[in-house]
Amino acid sequence: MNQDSNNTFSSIAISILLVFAIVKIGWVTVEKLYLPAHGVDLDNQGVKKNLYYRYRLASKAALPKIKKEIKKKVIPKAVSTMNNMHLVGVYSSGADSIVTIVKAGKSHILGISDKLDGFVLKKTTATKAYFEKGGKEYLLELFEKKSKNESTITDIEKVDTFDKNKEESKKIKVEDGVVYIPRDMLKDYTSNISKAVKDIGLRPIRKGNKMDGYKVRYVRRGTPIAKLGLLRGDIIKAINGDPITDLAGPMEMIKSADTIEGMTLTIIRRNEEKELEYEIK
Amino acid sequence: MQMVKNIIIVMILLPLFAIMLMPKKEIYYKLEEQLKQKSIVISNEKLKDTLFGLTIEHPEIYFNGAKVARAESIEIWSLLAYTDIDIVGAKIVEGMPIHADITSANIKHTILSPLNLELEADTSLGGVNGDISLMDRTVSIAIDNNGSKKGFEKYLKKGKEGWKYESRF
Repeated sequence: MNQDSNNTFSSIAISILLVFAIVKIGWVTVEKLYLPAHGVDLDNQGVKKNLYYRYRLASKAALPKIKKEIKKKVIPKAVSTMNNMHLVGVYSSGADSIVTIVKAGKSHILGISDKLDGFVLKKTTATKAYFEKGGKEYLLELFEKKSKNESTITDIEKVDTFDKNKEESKKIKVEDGVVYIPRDMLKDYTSNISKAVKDIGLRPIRKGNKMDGYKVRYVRRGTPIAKLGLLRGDIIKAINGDPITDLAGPMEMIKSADTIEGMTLTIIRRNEEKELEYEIK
Repeated sequence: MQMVKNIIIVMILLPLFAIMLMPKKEIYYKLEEQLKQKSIVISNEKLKDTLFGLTIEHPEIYFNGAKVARAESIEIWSLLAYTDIDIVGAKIVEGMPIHADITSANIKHTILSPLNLELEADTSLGGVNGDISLMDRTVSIAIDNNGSKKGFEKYLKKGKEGWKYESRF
């Protein structure tokens, strides 16, 4: 009787151990074959360095010639274009791209994979944005050409805008190194991003995988923005002393256009740090 | 009789050991790899392996390199037949065009309803109750009238007893 119970106990124990071992071996196999050993972090983005390097001891002539594979960039042909939408800005930094689309007078900022009316932004080039909707590909080009009928209107608009810009620029005053900006003008720019994009071009700078300020690509002459003291090539490093490491700082500034009383931009110009001070009236 | 006993023991222990010995961190890393392909990176988090789950502490969520949200903790607990995910103190970072805080959120999956996930949350938008259908690939969320919906109006539909959010994935 005692031996029977001992046999039962040992049989159960063996079963438990067997199940444990089978499960463990199964998971270890899955882990080694299919699962990564490291996570993705913003700093390393999953890039791992080899723990060893391979060296080959042979004369140069003995080494086989390696043909470099030249990969041609294949830009997909767009099948259709999008009506009522205009591409007014493309900002690219490494793999990241942001585009500004104007639809019915409203600006929309989209990143890769973002949607607007069902159109998903797939990729960008310097002047084009490719979208996808319902398996079909769509294309938006920067600064779309106007038709002949529209050109006259554009010319008149251009003259009007030039005069308006000239008048608006006069409202900005510079005293003792401080630039005084009318609040209405600031709100006009922050609520109408497409206007800002036309007057100043900014490109995000990346250090590793983090944002490290914005580079001024162009400042349109004769516009109010041209009076802010920013020049082409300047690098905006900080807003009110806070380094620009993400989109949060600029977004906060845009949001607080109603209440903000002053602002300091820290810029790098010709390798020298400089501060530009603004007061909002 | 002994054989039957052994089979029963194996049937009980197999799923239990499967969960206990599961390489939870590595499975999480795989999920991170999948998210990276969609430009989403979860960074600076601390992982704690538990017997039946995984706790992710202080994760920061980045989209296209810009920080968009952070959370105090995400706790995942599973017995295969019943899975529970608790999210505590999630926030969209200040300065984003829209802002919302999730004080706590709970997502449940049970074997009784294998193709549905239940969602309950306490947020700055109000109390949230919803369903995620894995079969139809739809999200249907009802939000009560207790919180501010500022900035979210265009994503929500106003109903008689509150607000609704519906989308497909």
